[in-house]
Amino acid sequence: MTSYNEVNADLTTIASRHDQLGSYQIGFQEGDIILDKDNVFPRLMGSLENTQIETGHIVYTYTLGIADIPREDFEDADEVYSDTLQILTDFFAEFKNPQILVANKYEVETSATFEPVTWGEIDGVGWTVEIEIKCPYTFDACNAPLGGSPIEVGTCDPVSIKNAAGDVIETVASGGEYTIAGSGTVENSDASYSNTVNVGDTLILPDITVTDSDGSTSSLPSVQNVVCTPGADATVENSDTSYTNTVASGGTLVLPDITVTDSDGSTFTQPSVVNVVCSLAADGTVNVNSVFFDNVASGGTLNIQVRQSSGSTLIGSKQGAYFRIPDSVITLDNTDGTTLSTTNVLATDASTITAPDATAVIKNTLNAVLRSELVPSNVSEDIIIGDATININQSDGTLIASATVTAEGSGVYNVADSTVNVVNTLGSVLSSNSVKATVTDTVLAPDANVENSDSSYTNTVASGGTLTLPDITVTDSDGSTFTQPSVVNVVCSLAPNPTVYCRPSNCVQSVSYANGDAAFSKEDLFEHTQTGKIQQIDHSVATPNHFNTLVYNDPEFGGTTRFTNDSGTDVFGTNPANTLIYDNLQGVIFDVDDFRNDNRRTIADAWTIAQAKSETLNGKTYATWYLAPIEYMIAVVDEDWTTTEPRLYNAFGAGVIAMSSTYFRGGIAGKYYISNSTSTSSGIVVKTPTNFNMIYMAFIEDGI
Amino acid sequence: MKQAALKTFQDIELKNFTWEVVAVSYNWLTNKASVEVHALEDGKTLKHSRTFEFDCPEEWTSETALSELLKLETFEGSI
Repeated sequence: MTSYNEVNADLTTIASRHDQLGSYQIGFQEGDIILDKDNVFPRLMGSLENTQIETGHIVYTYTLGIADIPREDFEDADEVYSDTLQILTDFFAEFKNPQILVANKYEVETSATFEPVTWGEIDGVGWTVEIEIKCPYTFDACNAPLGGSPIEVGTCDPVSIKNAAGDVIETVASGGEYTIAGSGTVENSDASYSNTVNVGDTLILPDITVTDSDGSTSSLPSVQNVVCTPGADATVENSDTSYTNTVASGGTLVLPDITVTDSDGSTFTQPSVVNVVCSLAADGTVNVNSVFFDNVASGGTLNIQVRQSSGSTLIGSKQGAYFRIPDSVITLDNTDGTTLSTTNVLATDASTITAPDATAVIKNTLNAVLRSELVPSNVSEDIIIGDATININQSDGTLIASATVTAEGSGVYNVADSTVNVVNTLGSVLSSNSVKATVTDTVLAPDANVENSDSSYTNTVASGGTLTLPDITVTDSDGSTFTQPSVVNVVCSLAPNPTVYCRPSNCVQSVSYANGDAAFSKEDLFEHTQTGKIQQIDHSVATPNHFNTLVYNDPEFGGTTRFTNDSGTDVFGTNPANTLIYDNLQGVIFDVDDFRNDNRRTIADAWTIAQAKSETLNGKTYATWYLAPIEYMIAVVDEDWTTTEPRLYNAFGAGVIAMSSTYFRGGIAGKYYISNSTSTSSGIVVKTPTNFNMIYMAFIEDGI
Repeated sequence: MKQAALKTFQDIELKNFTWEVVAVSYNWLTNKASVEVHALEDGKTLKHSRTFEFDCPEEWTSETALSELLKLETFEGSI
């Protein structure tokens, strides 16, 4: 039985767990129900109204009240009513779902009336409701402390012990004991399984193994129905599969009867899969071309052989509905095996074959046709061939003799001997021999002799043979050698003139005062880039007496017109009143005294002629010339003057060069003096030649 | 002095040449000064001699000659 205290405690538990309640008071443990403004609101109040006992239950009736204080003038009274009502209904809900806060030991009415109230002591509002809380009650008096203790045993009813069927198997006094003895037996219907289990124990039956219709196995718990899957249908067919059918597993298939056609054509039916016995048929009759040939047993075989008229060779073949004999082939050949014709003849038919005539063609050995005649096959005829005429000729066709001879006959004819004379080109007969016709005779011709004009070479050559003369070696004018065939004219090349390079000594003048002067030429043209030879001007043009030079640092170098007289006046085109010509570029002074006196020409004429002459000699223009600086002249002086034709490099002997104190410019003596004079006034003895040429140096590519 | 540029030395073009004043003379008749200059190109042995003539006031000196030369295109930029 659930006591009043337990109910109070459970209501208190719900109130304490409700988060919206500010305070609560359940029952009277804390004195009278207090409601004043010092409480914390909302406030729940619960008090027991009465307790009743009903059948099987004890009912506690509580009045639950809830109060809260609205704002002044109750302006939010509805909100307070709503909130407080919700709180009260939460108590009913909790009792209807007791597993949340209270044990499952109560029952509450599902209907209740909530009455709104105003609480004057707090100027508040709220609700009241009655809740009936039912608890089981069995009127158990065993523990009731009635009339003092101890309670006397036996006043209670005995205990009845029943089995599962409800049958009372034993009765035990209240407060006594009963022990269920022994064990039970568990077995299946056919007792193939049997086991025991003690009272109160549990026996777990083993699983059974089920083998299905397809042979597969599975394990299942015992004492359960087993449903096997049905087996697949079986296939029924005969040996040639002309009949096929299926039959369900465990089912029956009735095969259809078969129809048997007997040997006489009659039919009957009989069950399948039963051997059939047919009746024997009568013998058969075999006719060939409607002529009886023989009988043959039913089902037997009669082999008729078709043969040639003799022997055992089988002929003919089945062609459609008939057995036919093939044609005979008649081949007509001549005696050398050549087939003349072929003819097909039906079997047993007669045929006439005509052999063609032979043609006899009579030819001579030159394959010329003499006669042609037809000869019937297998017939002999005579053919006469005329005699042959034989002419015996020389090889050039000249007739020697003539005779006849029968066809394929023979005769003897003698041909006269030939005479062979060996004659040389001079007509002399060297030898004579007789040679029989068609006979080869050897006649030796003597060798010929070969020699050159001085007999330094001799040799022989066979008649009709070829002698190859050895090549000769030619040594050319320049000493080189080459070979060429004998008896061929030799043309030697002209030896080139030896290249004579006049490499004068270095120019003394080391400073160039004008482009093209001696120093400039040495630096940039003569020594560095030019090759060539010194050329001379014909001495008939001008015959200067002397060559002199300016001093090497004469300020007139390049400073005035190149060719001037002693006064610095251009000499071209003027009458050479002054006999000295200055080359202000090269620094050479030369005296044209002889020229003036001997040739009566003006200097301008002389220069023009000299330039033209020089260009004729070397193919260069005047612009490429340079008058030889005195240093170069010194270099080309050659003591070995032997020829009458003056050449620059051997024009003088030694000692023609000296310092000059005579020829000068502006009172400054020249540095060098070259003279062809034999006078010793300058202290120098000069050798020939008597005419000293006016010399220019031109640089040309070829030799003199 | 050294002139590295390609310059015309009166009638000839020279490059990379070293030059020097070798003589300065005065012609009182013409009142002109002549300055002889030798120029030598690098790697060459031939010296080129050229004479430059200037009008010559009284205050002329050798230094004046050099300064006048340096004003010429030929020697401008020499170091």
